Amino acid sequence: MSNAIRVFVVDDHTLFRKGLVSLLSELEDIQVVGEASTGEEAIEIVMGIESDLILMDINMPGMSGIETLGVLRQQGVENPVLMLTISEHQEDLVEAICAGASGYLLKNTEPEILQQTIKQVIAGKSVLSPEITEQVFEMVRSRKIGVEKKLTEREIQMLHLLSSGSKTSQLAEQMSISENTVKTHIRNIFEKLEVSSRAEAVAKAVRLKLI
Amino acid sequence: MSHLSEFSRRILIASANSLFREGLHKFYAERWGKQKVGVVMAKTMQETLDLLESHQPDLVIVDHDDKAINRDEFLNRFMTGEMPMKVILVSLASSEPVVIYNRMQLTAAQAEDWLANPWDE
Repeated sequence: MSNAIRVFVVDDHTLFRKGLVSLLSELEDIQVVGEASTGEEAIEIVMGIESDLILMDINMPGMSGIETLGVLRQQGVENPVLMLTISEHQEDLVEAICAGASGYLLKNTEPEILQQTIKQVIAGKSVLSPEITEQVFEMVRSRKIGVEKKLTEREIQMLHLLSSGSKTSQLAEQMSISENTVKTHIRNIFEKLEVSSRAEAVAKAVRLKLI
Repeated sequence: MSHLSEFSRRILIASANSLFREGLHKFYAERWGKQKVGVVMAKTMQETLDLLESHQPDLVIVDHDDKAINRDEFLNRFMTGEMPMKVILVSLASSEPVVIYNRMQLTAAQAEDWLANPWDE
């Protein structure tokens, strides 16, 4: 038991939490060191105990799991936090990741998968439920499509020329436009790609497979 | 799935969430074991309805999420049934209170007695 992963469980749903603690307590390599039914209670307890990982629900009365995670990070708690939730909402996923969650699992996860995921998170990996992974791909795809739609053909053409290192005067000549028009196009590209230099614009365009 | 006829009491846990199903079973295993309670589990509406019919549980614990197990559909089935049965309705998707239904079947004479003290006080 000395090498067991010390887990702290936060979930407002008593029946679920008690069951989860029972399941986890049966596993040789996991030790449940505490539990809380609210975010506020979790913050108070976690600060006073030794734990390796926090398993936390998102939708709780009072402070949500994401708010709780934010407060824990502000207070210097660096333990990995694995969200265990019923929520498949994109905004919850994004906010959890931004707040510093190491993983996002749905409550329909099988116990064996939860056990594996806890070990992966302790090993420093970031883990998502398969259903959620698909959402992440969708988000990235829609973002790329958004940028592609926003950039005009001329701007894409200019990005190609920028990637070959052409200067403003050369761009103007190659595109048969004035240097002022070139600068306008470049300003628009910077704005659309949310970058501040030509090198950044080219790098981002390559990353988004625009060129 | 074990057959429950040898048990004095039968419980059905219906939930799409295996952590809830198996966790609850584990949490109460010792106490239920002492009371000779047999447990079966369902993860879909169809499995729930099948087990209701085949095992006629005394207690059903339903975690309704309206995708795998629909609250209204289950309650409709519950209301039209006749076997004595207790039902606990739970939703992991919200913090709403747990609802407990207790369906009893009494003769007219038993009902008369029951009405004299319906709250068992």
